[in-house]
Amino acid sequence: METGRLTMEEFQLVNKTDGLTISSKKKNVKESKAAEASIANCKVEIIRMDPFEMEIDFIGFNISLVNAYRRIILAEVPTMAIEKVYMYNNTSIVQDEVLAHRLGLVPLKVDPRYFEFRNKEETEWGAQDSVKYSLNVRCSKNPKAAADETNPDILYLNRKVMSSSLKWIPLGNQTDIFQEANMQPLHQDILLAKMNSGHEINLEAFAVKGIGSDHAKFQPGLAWYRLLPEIELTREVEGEQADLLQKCFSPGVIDVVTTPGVFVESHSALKSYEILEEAVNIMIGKCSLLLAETDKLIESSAPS
Amino acid sequence: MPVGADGFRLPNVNESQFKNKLECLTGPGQNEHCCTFVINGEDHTLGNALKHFIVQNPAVEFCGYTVPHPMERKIHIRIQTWDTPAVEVLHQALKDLKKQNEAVKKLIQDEVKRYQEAHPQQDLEK
Repeated sequence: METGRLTMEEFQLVNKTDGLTISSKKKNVKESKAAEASIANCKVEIIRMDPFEMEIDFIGFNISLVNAYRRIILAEVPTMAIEKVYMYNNTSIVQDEVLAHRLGLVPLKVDPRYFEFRNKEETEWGAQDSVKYSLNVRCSKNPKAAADETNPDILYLNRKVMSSSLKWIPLGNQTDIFQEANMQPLHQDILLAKMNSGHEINLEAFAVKGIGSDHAKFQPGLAWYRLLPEIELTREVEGEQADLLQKCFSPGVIDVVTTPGVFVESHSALKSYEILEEAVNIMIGKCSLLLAETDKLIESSAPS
Repeated sequence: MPVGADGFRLPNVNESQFKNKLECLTGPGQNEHCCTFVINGEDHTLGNALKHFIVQNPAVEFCGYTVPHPMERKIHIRIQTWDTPAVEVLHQALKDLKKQNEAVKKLIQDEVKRYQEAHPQQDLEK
């Protein structure tokens, strides 16, 4: 796509990227060539990247495609999260449903690509679509504490229930495929509940694969983008006014062509670049599905 | 029928409960060159991107998309051409969109590899 210019005038935004205003170089080019030429102009540059966060520049792309990736990352890239909790014993002050809700929000390290989506009518928990966890904690008085100890964390054992207490229970043949270290919650220090002496929590939780548009707990991460601005001064600015102008902007106002910068933040089992790749895969999947449908439509209307 | 906590019927995530993914509206304003397509189960994610690709096609006189009601997951894409069948325009745009996506995927994969080689990092055991 030709580098679009999104211009900010005094009272409106002017977007010069529709087909009617293609620059003269491309006006006489045939359809297929235009598509190839536009692909050739596009570049992708990673500014910085680690498994949790990445910043990437899409140069020469149309904003609608970048927005589509952002929407897919937020709503349609699948993750695993706890969905059903079987509460066997809960004498703590945290109510059953509140505890279950908190469990659902705990991010899990489980890679969703190894699992299938689960049918809503299904009653059995199979090895190919669910992961089982159990939480069994009892709070008791610490026999080793000093007589005049006032710190409740030392007075009682297991006062705080953290996400490290979630134990993975393999179903079926899951022991052959997964290692225990990869099935834990992403962070071991998430506080789930607090208890006092004599309280006990005993539950079993099942995690399934889901997408962000179903429930926010299935969101694999965050993604946001912005356009890199090019600031053109409409008149000469000199002397004191120039200094004032420079102070209005962040230090180092540079002249850059309009390029969307995309930020992807991951808090799931997938690394940040894997999330982006999954998003593109999903987009390709949508196109293929529709292509098959259009083919059907063309064939059905061909004899007419 | 699965019902969610607030009484609304839950959409089944992995099953399409509509009959056709892609349909053509019928009526007085529709003929071979001017057609409104209804795509079920899609929203702005696909609609905006697809519309942009259709608009770049010089054979297209008009193209727009809309979500008729935010509570129904479907989009209407209207394509008006001078003399090419609208279905062909849609087909071509989808092919271009798919090609573009595959190119992006390759670009991202290459770029990730290049970055990882340039910045060897301690492998954070995730």
